[in-house]
Amino acid sequence: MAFTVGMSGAGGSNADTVDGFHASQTPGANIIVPLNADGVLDLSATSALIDVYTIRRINGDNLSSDYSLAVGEEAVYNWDTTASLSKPLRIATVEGFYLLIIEAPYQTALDIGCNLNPNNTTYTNAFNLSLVGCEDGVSSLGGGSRTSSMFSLEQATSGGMTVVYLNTFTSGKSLISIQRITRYTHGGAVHLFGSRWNDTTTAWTSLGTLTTTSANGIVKVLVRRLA
Amino acid sequence: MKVWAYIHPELNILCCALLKESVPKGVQAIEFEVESTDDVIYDGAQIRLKTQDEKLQEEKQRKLAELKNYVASLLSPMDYIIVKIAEAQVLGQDVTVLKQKYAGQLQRREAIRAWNEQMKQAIEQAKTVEEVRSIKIEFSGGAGA
Repeated sequence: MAFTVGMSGAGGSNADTVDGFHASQTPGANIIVPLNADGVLDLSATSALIDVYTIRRINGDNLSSDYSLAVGEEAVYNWDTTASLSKPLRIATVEGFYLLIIEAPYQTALDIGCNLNPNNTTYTNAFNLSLVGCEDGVSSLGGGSRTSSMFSLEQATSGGMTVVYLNTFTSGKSLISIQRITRYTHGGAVHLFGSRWNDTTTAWTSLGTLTTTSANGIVKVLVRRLA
Repeated sequence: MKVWAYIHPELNILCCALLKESVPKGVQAIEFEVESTDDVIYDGAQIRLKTQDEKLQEEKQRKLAELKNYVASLLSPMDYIIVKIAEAQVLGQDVTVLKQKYAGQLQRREAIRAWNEQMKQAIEQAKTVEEVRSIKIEFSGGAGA
């Protein structure tokens, strides 16, 4: 590989540029970034584009309009449910796959329901949910199915962790989820559920708004575009 | 929270936008202040908020469904005992020994059913949504399975 090393000053021995690019530990446009003192390539102020996969995290709380995540890019939120029972995620969606992780503080005082309203909208009875679950201390599985007007995330804000995979293809809009949550009854449960948005013509253009039926402190949310 | 309710022009269903900008362009929406998006209803003639009684009845139905699922999950692990006893009866066998063997489980099933009836009554007699929500569906009595 041929490259040109620029020298600083006549007869100087230190390379000033490589192929015209300057080096700096502060990332920026057209800057070569060396490993830092810990041997880490720190690109935290910018991003790394690897083929079509972007490694970058943004603070979703700062979004005021829909942001289009690149593949691999993620947004994180600290949703203060005491301030608002709804949280617009402000993510513009294209047809593909997304990951959503929700973590809520431990509490067993009441069951708290959580929903994802795609396109920041409810669509009356347009969603089908099927669920199997096991309550703590109960030796058999429970479950059932029902319709709803948005994607139900069951007790995702009740406490514990919920992992959701989202399919945003217009003709197959759906999600699958597993959650380990705290509950008013029995103290906790594991749920495995899937939900389908029955309408196959409406485009899912905005990831949507999360809503919770009651406040439960700071709920942590992560959204990543997978493909 | 505020919602903007409208009839979707293509889908012909009630929709509620949680952000004003999510209302499709050119569509007339009605603004409501609600506790939940479930509070808005289209009754065939108009978009309106549910009455307190409608909300109470819905909450009762939800709680009764939860109770039904829960009771089924308590009874189903012991269903094989009932099948065993029924089979013995069909074959004309004496079921006394089986009834003695599974006396604890049969007693527990009876206790679950009695508790289920009490819970149903408590749900049906509740006067407010909050009262229904505060009912804890958790069986703690009876002999072990």
